[in-house]
Amino acid sequence: MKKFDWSGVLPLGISQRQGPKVLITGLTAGLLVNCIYLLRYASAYGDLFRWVNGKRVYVGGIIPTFRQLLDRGLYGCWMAMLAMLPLAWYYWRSHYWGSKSIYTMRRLPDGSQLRRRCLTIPLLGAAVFFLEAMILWQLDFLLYWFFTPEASLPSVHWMALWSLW
Amino acid sequence: MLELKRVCKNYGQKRALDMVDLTIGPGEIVGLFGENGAGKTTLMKCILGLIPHMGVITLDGKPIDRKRMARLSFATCEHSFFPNLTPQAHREFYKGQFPTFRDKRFKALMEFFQLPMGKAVRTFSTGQKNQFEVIMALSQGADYILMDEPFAGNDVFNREDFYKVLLGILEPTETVILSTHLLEEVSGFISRGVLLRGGQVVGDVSTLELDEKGMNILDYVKQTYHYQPDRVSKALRELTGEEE
Repeated sequence: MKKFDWSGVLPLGISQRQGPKVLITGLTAGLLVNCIYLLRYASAYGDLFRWVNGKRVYVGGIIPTFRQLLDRGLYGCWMAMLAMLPLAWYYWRSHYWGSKSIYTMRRLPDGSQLRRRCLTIPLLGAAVFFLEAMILWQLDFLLYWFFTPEASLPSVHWMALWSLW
Repeated sequence: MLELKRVCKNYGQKRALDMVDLTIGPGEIVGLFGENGAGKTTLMKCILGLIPHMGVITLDGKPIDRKRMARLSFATCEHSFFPNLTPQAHREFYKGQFPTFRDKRFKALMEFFQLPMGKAVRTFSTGQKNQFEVIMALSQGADYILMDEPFAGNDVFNREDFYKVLLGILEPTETVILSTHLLEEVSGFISRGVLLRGGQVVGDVSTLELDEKGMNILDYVKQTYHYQPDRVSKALRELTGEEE
């Protein structure tokens, strides 16, 4: 498979590796922070059971709402999205480091070059991290919904999904 | 033809350019002179559309839009190259951006100044960086080449080489606008001198006119600026308290 050429969407002189690196770092941050939810859910789920004579027995009870468990579980994605703002600024400022290459960029007949090189990765990153947040949100809810015994689900669990914001 | 009509530029309260009218035709080599803060750099940046201004600047009677902008190139002492790129990478980028890129000229100048093609420009010495900056401006394929103190930091031999090379390679339709303090050095190289003072054009003369008057550009500048030749000796007398 042909490797994607990032050089056209990054400021000239910035390593091509930075494109995938930004995306991978943001995605990893989103996943790692989402582990908060998994740990909280695992703990709340465990509270529904007791160990009796080496056997796990369902004792009932109501699990906290999805929203309570998710809490800041998507903050990694939101932070990664926010980080795209300073990244765009960094790319723009890179045209002032060591020279004023901004003069050349602003003189190019193709007026979209500067915008494309400063904004593509941040916009792509923001879109990817938003998508990641949506997928994690759905997966987290599916986990909550499928694995929690029905009797332990709070009556408002569907509402909790949509009251995320 | 590059025409500036009533060009004004303010930096806050300070007027950097004041009603500048200037017409520069094809093939001219114009020296832009003036003390620090006279408005030379500001004038160039206005022509290149790098800073907003009042007044009208046209190229062949039409406003300088993106398409026409490619007919202007710029070499500045601030440098406008990409420091992390090699000259080879610059060449490829410019070839992609400027269809009129002069590859032959680029190669010839790189060889003449013995600049390495494969090293990042940031590793060059100041003199080499200046040379490379000018090489890119000359190779872009522009009709109007604007240079703002391009040789600041270069030694005299280097600069002389450059003037010779420039005169040798420029085509009759190529126009150079060169802002510099090195009046005497460029006097044999320019065809016209424009003097700026306090953001205004205070002098505009062709070297032919000067030749006819038996003057050189330095005399002309001194005359226009009302230079007082005895000011140094006066100041020294006052400082040392010596009598005449």
